[in-house]
Amino acid sequence: MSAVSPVSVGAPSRAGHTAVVGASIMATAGGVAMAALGSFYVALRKGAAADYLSSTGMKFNNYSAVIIVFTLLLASGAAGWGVIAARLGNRRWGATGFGLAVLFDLAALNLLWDIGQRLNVGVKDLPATTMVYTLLVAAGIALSIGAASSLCGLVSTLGGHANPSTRYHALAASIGQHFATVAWLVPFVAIFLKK
Amino acid sequence: MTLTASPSSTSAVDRAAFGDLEVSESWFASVDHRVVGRLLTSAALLVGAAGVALWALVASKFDAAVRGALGTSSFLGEGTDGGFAWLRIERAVQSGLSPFVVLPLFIGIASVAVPHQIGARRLAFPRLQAFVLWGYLAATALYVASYAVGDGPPQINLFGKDFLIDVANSNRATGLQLGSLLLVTVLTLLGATNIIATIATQRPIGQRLSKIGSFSFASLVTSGVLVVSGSVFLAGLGLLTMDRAFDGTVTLGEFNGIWSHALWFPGRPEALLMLLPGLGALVDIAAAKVNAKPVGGVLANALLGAYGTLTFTAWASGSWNQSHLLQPTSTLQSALVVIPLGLLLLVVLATIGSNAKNLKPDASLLPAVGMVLLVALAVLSVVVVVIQDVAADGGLELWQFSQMSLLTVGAPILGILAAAIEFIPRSLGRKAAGAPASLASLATLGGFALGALGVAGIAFQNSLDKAASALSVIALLGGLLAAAGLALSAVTILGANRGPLAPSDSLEATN
Repeated sequence: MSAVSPVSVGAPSRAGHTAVVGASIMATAGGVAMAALGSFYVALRKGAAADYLSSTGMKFNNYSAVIIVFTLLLASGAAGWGVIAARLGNRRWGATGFGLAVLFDLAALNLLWDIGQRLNVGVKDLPATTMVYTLLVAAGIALSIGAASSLCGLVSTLGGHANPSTRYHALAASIGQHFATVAWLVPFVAIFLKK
Repeated sequence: MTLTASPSSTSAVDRAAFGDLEVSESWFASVDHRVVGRLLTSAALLVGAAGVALWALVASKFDAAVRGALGTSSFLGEGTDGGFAWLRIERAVQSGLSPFVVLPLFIGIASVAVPHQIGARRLAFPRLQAFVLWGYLAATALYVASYAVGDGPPQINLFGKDFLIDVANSNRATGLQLGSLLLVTVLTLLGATNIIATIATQRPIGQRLSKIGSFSFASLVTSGVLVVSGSVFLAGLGLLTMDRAFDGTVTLGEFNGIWSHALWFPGRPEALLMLLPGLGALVDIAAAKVNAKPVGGVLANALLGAYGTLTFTAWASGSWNQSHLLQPTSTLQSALVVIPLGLLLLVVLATIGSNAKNLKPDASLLPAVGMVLLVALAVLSVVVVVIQDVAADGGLELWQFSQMSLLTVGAPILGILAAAIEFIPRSLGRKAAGAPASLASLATLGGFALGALGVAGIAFQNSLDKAASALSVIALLGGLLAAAGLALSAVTILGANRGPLAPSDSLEATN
């Protein structure tokens, strides 16, 4: 026995899942933060008139918001495809899946930027407009994390981690992508659906 | 490696554990959880020592000379001296105690103790914890440096009754201060994630979660709650940063409920939560000192889980509770934590009683008992509030501060110190440095108790005119004593790898 380690050190562990567990916890934390921002916005709007925001001249680009939902669903699907391909050891399809997810994320980010540009109100005009911009910025950060995760999945797959024993890397990357998709649903529901 | 050999983090065992990671004893390059955790613990203690000493000096008016030097600032004073608001410093220290001292302290000791206790060789993400360490130092430096930018940031008060960011006077330094808070919160979330992932994935197969050591279980629950509550705090800080950056109006107090649950410290679960690691350590230490298992089997862990879950009740109150005397247990819901707390103390007493004749008190028992004493002192203040009106003439905020310093700073720090004294030397195969550790614990215990009693005493007199009385001197001495205890603890923990080797049987006592 080592003098520095307890008796049971070295017993078999669940270390293979480490990246997946870590990514899941961080995704949970990010989801809670987004949900908190969404609840702040709802609390702030509570009791306000229905045209509280539209009376300021604020324009809701519902079309782009819906397209972002579909784009991110496609990104999640592509990342899931990458995970399955990695599990089967198919490096080429794995890379294609994660590569497509990155492209979808970039497209969603572009649309999000466009929504922010066309809101037609200033950040400080009303407390609610500050909240709207905060939610959009947070969604942008979440989308960037999703893109970065998918990029990691792409690099990992191209780097040879596309086999059954190392599939957890791809799975962890896809969790980051799914987080981005779910995170967008918070501003989508709070701002664009409920208005 | 034999017991007579000098334990080294670069041993063959460790090289096997860390795989392709570069294992180094160097403070700057190491990813060994024992080095990183020790450094983080010591750094947080030193920051705490500096903060508590600064607070004691700034907040006190213990004699004319110091009053002259510090201006008209007092425990509640709003005064300035030569345009420099000392109150800002006092409030900045109070607001920084949780994010920059107590939380990193927990992450640091959990980084060392959890792998050791569950039988893992390393953390799930060793490099991540090293990143947390150096990021923490950078965030702390940013927080301090914000006061060197221009006139420094205006008042921030996340700790006291009138939680606020002085929005009317926000400036560039405000951004720096909020940035440092954002950074340290993200780092805390990363550290907590690492602790959870370590327990989830690095413990040996077959070891059930409910049967891991109580400190590790408490760390798991604490980290789990932190991931949720820290994320909400992060969201609140993000909103605040956005609002300040664009001169928005969300922070003008119109939406009190958001701030009282997202930013105001007593309205967040963390205020109650940080006692939990110390409670876990208390169970383990009591069992180890009488060489017995905790009475009730997994009951202790179940109670720790219940305590952690009940901390969420801090969110179940309206903003009315800001003016309540007893923080952070101002509502019936948040006071529910006393049930698992009381039952846990009964489990500890029963465990000690089950084999009391074999009780071997040592350095780690002292801070653990000290934690219980500070909690008892806080309970005593509830009794005082019932029989005596202390809310008049500004006494409310002083009483709140006294209560908060006991329950959310003093007791949690002592509990975590107990874990540090118990687990850090063991993880290094060393004996605890009994005398310095005991001295540090006594100083910390005495300091926090004196400080809280001094502040509460001033509130009790219902008169701010007495702020310069002997009670202020007691509060000041208490603050300085606590700072000395924290600094000595930091030095003791840093030097833990130089102590005498421990016999093998003692290493297994708390595993």
